[in-house]
Amino acid sequence: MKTDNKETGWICGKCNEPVEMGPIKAMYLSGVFDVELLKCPKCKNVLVPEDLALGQMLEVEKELEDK
Amino acid sequence: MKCVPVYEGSIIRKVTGSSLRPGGFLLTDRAMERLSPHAGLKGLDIGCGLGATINHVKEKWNLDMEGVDQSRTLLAQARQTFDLNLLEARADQLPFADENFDFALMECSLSLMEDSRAVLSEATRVLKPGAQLFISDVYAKNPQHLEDFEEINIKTCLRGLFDLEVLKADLEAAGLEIIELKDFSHLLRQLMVDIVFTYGSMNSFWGRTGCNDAQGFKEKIKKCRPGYFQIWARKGEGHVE
Repeated sequence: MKTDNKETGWICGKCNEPVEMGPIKAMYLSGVFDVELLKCPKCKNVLVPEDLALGQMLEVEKELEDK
Repeated sequence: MKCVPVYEGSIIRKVTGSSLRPGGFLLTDRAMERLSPHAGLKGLDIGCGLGATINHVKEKWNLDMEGVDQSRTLLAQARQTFDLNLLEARADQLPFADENFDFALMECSLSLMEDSRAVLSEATRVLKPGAQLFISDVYAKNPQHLEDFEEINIKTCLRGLFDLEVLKADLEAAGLEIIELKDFSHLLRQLMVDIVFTYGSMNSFWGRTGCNDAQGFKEKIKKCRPGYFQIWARKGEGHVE
């Protein structure tokens, strides 16, 4: 991924398409969850920025591990 | 201690929408599928909140429903949004005649009520013999850790986690036969994910609701291992009050 797109700050390095927010099925432990993440509309690769990975996603992981 | 009702505020509504519960209308529709709805059936939503469920059932399933709620705040908002038959009443003192309804819904509302046994008894009274009751709500997978939340100043369903064995016995004592009890804990987990993505963390969410001890409340809840269920029950044909 490259950071050229004006709206999200990212374009897909493989497809050269601007990534956009969209619904994603995320799997963690034994659960599947619906979340909104940045993804390439063409190859569907998902981008998880560092702040999201170390923020909400880490928080969700901690909560799920507690359950 | 005066408790802040989380379900009346915009903090939770931003995540759940107007249904104010995990799963939105998913379990409402599941209940309606089991009801085999046909014209003429009359239902009651006990703890109708913003009236969104009644509106949904009317629009999607074309069924007549009334609603009761104890929250004047939620009912006022419901009346601004929908043209529905809604009454302000306690669920343990329902303002209806005996054997009045063909079905009733209690979706994430029984856990908020002070005396769930009295509510079940009252719900049974207003149901016709053979009528059906659908309850979806929170329960504790570790009920041995259930304890008082007296020092917590927010009112939320998670304060009223059910011990399913106790609830099943209460349903039977009220004259209700359980047809099906199914786990839907994934809906509660999805709600948690939605809350964290919206507010950054559960602590941040509980803090925004006005909770005086977000971390302490979270720790207590965690020990109970909350889950979510739907019960499909039927009033016995030969029920005698």
